Amino acid sequence: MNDNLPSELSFSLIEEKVGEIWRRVLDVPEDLADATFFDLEGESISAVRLVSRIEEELGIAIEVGDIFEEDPNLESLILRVAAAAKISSAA
Amino acid sequence: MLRTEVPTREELVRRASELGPTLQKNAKWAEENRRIHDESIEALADAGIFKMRVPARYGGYECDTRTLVEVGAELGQADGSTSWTASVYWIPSWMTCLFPDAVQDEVFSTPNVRVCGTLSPTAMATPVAGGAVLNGQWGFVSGAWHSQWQEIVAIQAGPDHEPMPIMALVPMSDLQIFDDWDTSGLRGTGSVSTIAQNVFVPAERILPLPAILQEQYASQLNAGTPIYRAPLLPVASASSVGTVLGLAKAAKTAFLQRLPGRKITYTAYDSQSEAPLTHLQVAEASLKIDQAQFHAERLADTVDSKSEQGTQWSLEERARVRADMGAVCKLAKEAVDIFATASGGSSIYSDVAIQRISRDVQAVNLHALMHPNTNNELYGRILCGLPPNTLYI
Repeated sequence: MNDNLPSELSFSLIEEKVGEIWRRVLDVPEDLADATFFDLEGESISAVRLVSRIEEELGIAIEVGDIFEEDPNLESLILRVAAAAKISSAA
Repeated sequence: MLRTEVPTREELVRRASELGPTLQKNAKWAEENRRIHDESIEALADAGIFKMRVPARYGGYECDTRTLVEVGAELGQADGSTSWTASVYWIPSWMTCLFPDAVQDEVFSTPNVRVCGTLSPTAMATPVAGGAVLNGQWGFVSGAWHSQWQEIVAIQAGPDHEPMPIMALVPMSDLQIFDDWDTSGLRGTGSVSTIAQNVFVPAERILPLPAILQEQYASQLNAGTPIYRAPLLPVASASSVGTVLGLAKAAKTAFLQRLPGRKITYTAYDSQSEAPLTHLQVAEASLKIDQAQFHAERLADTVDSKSEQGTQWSLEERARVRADMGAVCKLAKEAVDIFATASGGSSIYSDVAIQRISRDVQAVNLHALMHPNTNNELYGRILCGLPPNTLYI
C-alpha cells in the first residue's frame, strides 16, 4: 500500500497533487480558482475525503480541523500540506 | 518514503463524527436492504477506519483499543449497524496480524482491505497434503458483502488426527453467501451466512485455535508491537463495546432532540419536559450511560496497559474484561429502554431513529460473547474459585 507514494516530495509535486485532489473532491468550476472550501459548499464528508486522499497520495497527514477551522482556498491548503511535510515553498 | 505521523485518536474521532451525516442518511436504506450502503463503506474507507488495526508497514495506523472504543462510540451515534460492521472488521483484521508475515503481505496488499469473520467452529476441515479442505457454513458474518477475506474457525479432524479447532483465512471468492439475514435488529450489518464447499486452504493460512487462545502467535514482524501482543478475547471485547456505548448516546440525543414541544398525550402535561417523571427518566438513563462509559474505558485501558507492559493476564483479569463488556451492554440497553419508553407512540414510525436504536441494542445484547448473563456468570465463577466453563476467555 505504501509503494504508490512518491519517493521524492517537492513543493511543486505537492502543488500539483493537492490541486488535482481539490478539484476532484470538490469538483471546482474553472472560474472559481481561489474559492475557499466553504465557498465551494464543502461538507463534512468532502473534508474527510480531502484529508484521506492527501494522506494516501502524498503520505502527508493533515487534519480535518485544518479544513474546517481554516476554511482554506487551494493555495493556502497547499501551504498547509507543505508545512506538514516540512517542505518550504522556497525549495 | 517520507511518512508524517499517523492520525491521532482525536483526529480519527473527529473524522468519525464528520461521517455522521452520511451514515445517518443511509441508515434507513441499510435496514430496508439489510446491508451497508456502498457510499457508507467508501466514507469509512476515506476516514481511514479500515486502516486502524493494520500494521504501519502496510500504511496502517496500529491504533490502541481505547481509540477503537471512542471511534466506535462516535460511529454508533450515527448508525448502529454501520458502527457494528466497522467494529467487526477491526477484529479479523487484527487476527490477520497473528498469521505468518507472508500471509499478511498477501491480505494487506489490498488497500483498505476488509476481513470479516466469527469464532464459531461450525465447519469441518479435512487435512490433506499441503493444507486442509473446508466444508460447512458460518452464521452471523457481519460485513461479508463488502469483504475480500473471511477469517474462519473450523474443527480439523482426520483419520490420525484428534479433533482440534483451527483458524484460517479464506478469500471471499472461495465462499458462497447465503442471504439469510432478515432480523429484528442490526439489519444493516448484512450478517449473512457463508458456505464453504470443498475449499482448499494452504497450511500457511491455518493456525491452531488453542495456540492462539494462549497468545502463541505466528508473526515475527508484529511480535514487538504492543497491540499485537494482547489476547484474542479481550481484544474482541474492547473492539465491540464502542458501538453499544454509541447506541446509548444516540438514544439520549434522539430523545432530547424530540423533547421540545412534545406533551404527554391524554395527561395534563402540555410539556413533557416539565414533568418530574421525565426528569427522573433522563437522569437515570444518563447515569447508566456514564457507568457504561466507565466499563468501556476500564476494559480498553486494561487491554492497552497490559499490552504496553507486556505483562501476563490472570484468569480474573480475562473474566473481568468480559464482565466489563457485559456491563456496557446491560447498562446501554437499560438506558435505551428508558428513552424509548418515554418517546411516545409516534416513535414507532420507521423514520424515527429511537425505534431502530432500541431494536439494535436488544440484538447486540443477545450476542453470545457479549450477553450480560454469560459474562457475569463467567466472572462470578472465577471470583468464586471455579474454573471457566468456556474455551473462549
